[in-house]
Amino acid sequence: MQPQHIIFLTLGTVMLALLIWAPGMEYTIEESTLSFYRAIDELPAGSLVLVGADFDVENRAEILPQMEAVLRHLMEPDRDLRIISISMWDQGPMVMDVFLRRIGDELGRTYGTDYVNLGYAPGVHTMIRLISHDFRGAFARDFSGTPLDELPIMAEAGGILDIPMIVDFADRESGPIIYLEQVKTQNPQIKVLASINAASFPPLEPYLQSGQVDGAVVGLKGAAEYEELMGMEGLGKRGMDTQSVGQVLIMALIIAGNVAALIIARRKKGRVAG
Amino acid sequence: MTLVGVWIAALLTLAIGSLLWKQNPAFRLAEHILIGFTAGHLVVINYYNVVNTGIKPLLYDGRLLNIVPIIIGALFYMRFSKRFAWLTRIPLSFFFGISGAVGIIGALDASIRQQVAATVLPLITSYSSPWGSFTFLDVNNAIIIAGTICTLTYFFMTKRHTGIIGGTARVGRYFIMITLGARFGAVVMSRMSLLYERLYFLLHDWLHILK
Repeated sequence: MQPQHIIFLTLGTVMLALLIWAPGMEYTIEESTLSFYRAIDELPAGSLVLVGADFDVENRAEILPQMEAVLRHLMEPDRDLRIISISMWDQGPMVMDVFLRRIGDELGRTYGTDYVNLGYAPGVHTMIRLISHDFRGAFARDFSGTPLDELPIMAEAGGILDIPMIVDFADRESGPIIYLEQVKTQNPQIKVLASINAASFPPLEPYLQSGQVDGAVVGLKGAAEYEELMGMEGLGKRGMDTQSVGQVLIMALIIAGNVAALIIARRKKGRVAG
Repeated sequence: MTLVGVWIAALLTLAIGSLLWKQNPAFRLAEHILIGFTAGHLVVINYYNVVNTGIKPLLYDGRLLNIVPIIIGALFYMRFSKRFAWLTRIPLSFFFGISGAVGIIGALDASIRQQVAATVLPLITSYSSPWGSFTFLDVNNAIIIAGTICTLTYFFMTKRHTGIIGGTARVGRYFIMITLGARFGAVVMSRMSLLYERLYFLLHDWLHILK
């Protein structure tokens, strides 16, 4: 057995044990998550919201628990918000479609009237610029192939500049940044919220600090925080134990590895001097 | 997910995970399935995209101008002909020209002007309390300003890094190292989540051990 096998085995065993044991560690809610939650709460009833599905399925572990909690918030019947979902990359729309329809059915929302999934269109920056005034610039049909003219929600939706809020589920910082660059620069009143995986958050943080991004749900912890705010149980909360202890274990391994490297270097130096 | 779907996903998860032990045929099979699926998915999505947004509106809605981007886009396929390969330069120049221009006009404001404006911060902060007013250095703002200046100096390549410039660049390098450390920490956090999700799937959806 190689040293790396011992590391994998330890990590796997610890995480498995915590998943079964589930001690329920405590955590605090970040200000960025609260801002995200409040922004949706304060949106007037009947408003349109653009939901970006800018992720690949490989990052589902963090994005899907975030989506479950945030979409439930957006689709609450009393709130009466209408959702238009689009994607700059190809894999997001199929997952978004499943989530929108499942949560929509549970909460009594109607496809085509209360929410719609337009799917993916190529072009990234150019596509977003193209739909500034009319979604039909890049989308002729929705994700299921229905022409936009047959969807009541699209009759009142002009372009992306007419929508007061963008919620972007992204596994790369470029997703929300493109909305800032192509949309918010044209209409600074539009709120941009980012629901993003932890690995992509550091480059986005300056935009949050500057107030360009109005709120952020970050990683699995962000999902857990949002579940807490929504008063629901989900994969985010459940994953906090394994996440916390797994990270402590990685930190311990980094420290142990560095101490070992230091000892080996000193021994070698001693041998050369001797 | 159906029972068959859960079993396929579980077996593929185990096959991919088996790489942790060593390279093996099960891992390679799962890897090839993933690559094939991703490529196939992209082809299908883009096929329908061209048909729905380009060809159908041209044929059924009378949007005759669609013929222009369709022809320009089709020129990409000229790369398979030695004689006409030069024609691919036309769509490429459109592609670089338009996407570059659109990207730059947005970035100039959101990622340069507004980000520079965000570094114009007060270094001195006043705090009023029942016991009087206090004035002190705002450490967070000082770090943001110093970090930006020092890091930019590190990338200042046309002047030898000696003297004040050298010292500032050295501090800039430390800021970059801290940033990379933060980024690595965030990546570890993401990977832990991936491992958790897969373990949860195996125990909950596949083996039904977790409730």
